[in-house]
Amino acid sequence: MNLTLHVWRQADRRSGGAFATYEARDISEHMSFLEMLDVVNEGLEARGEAPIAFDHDCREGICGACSLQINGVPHGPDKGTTTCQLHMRSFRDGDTLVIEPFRAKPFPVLRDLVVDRGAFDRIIEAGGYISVRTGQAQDANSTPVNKQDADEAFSYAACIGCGACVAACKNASASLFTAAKISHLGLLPQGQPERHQRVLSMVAQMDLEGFGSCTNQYECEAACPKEISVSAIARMNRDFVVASLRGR
Amino acid sequence: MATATAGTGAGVFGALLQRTIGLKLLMAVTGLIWVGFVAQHMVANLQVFMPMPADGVHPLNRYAAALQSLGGLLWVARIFLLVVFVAHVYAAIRLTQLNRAARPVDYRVRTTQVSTFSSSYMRVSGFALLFFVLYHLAHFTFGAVDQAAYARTLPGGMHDVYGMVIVGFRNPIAAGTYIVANVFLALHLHHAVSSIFQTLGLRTPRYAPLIDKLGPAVGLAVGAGNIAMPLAILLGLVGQGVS
Ligand code: HEM
Ligand code: SF4
Ligand code: FES
Repeated sequence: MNLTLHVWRQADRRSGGAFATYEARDISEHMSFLEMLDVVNEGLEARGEAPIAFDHDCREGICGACSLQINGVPHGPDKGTTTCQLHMRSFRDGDTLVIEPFRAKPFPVLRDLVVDRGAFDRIIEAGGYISVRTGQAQDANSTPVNKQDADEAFSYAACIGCGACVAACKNASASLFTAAKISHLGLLPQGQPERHQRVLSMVAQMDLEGFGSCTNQYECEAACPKEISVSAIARMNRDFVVASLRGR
Repeated sequence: MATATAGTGAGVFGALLQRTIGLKLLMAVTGLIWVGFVAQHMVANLQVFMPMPADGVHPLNRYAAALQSLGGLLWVARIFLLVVFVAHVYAAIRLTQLNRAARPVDYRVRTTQVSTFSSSYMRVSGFALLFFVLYHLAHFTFGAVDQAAYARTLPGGMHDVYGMVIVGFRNPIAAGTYIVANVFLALHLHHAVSSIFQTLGLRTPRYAPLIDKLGPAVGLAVGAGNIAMPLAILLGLVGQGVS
């Protein structure tokens, strides 16, 4: 299949950027989206041009490195799918694709389609951990957790920190990411001692980084490759109210 | 951090307003208060559809007189609603600033997947409501729009609110303004009423389907009820006896 790509090109953090148009020729529908970009890059390098920079690592949907806003949707059109797992059969021969970096003030563009998502690391550092000793493997089994809580915690723990939720939100809000991390720990016994301080600190850091607020449109949930539920955000709001009233 | 001044009521409140979630909570609580007021306001005014009783004192006039007899309490309620309204608008403006700043470079293409029309135009519907509330107060509370209608009294000296409303809505411009404003109100509530539950952390997976229908239902009910009044009067279906 053949495609026309409009790709954001930007030399570095400080330069301005612009769209450049490329033709992607003889693409197999079995390729992943990133493999398609690899093919385009081979062509660019052969012509002595700089390849398109984009983030990737595992290429199996588990690391959260890949990104890309594809025709206005983070990670492209397929539900619950990262860009690295998105296959070209999701597109049609002759399609025109606009490929942009995730846009948010706290996610500055480093080069082309690569953005710095360090803001997420700082939100985690602010409280996305537990300080109690968890013991040996068998000790985990001796701490009872009811099945429903375990399942819900696990669904939030599936967050890979990719930033698609921020990219999809009209306010560039990091609510879904932050809430997934807060709720994953807040549902488990090991997370209880720091539960209130955690929500206050992580929410404070989220604001400090410059993310927007939640309008409850749920675009994040629709875009999330791990299909994290916005129930996490309701839970975060609830914990935030309780923690604020208790004063810590 | 948020903990520094906690402990006192003012400290907690001040700390909350430092956070986007806190501003959103303020929006939800103040919005909820106004939803309650708007709903009761509509139900009370639907009395305009009641027939004129034999004694010539319409139920709407009795209701208005009862409200007036509250005296100081009425002013307490008015000032309370005003403060709540200002707080809502403040939170809306502050959050809008923060949200705009959060994406200085916009996308060339942004495709929404699940956003509703109403949720995308909350600022538009909200500001339309701001102007409407001012017009509405000038019209029926302070009588600045139509002084003759506002000055109407009944033989006993009672303020003729019923007659004022009927005469007021025979004017197509006034009736049209109310009808359009209530389309905005219905839109605003379509998103807002469901949104309150999520903001306050009450939208649990079990009740989410129900909660998501509540906003549209309340929006439709309040909008339809409020539009029915000016429309029926404009079409001459109600209040033929008033001259
Ligand atoms: C000047 C007038 C108003 C403005 C500018 C305004 C603006 C807004 C905005 C921007 C939102 C936030 C939506 C978002 O998060 O993106 C909102 C939410 C809301 N508004 Fe208004 N509004 C106004 C008047 C009203 C009135 C008159 C009512 C009630 C009848 C109301 C009820 C609500 C409610 C309940 C919410 C939802 C809060 C939440 O998201 O949890 N607003 N408003
Ligand atoms: S919540 Fe979903 S979209 Fe957001 S960072 Fe985690 S995995 Fe990515
Ligand atoms: S490259 Fe690891 S999730 Fe896509």
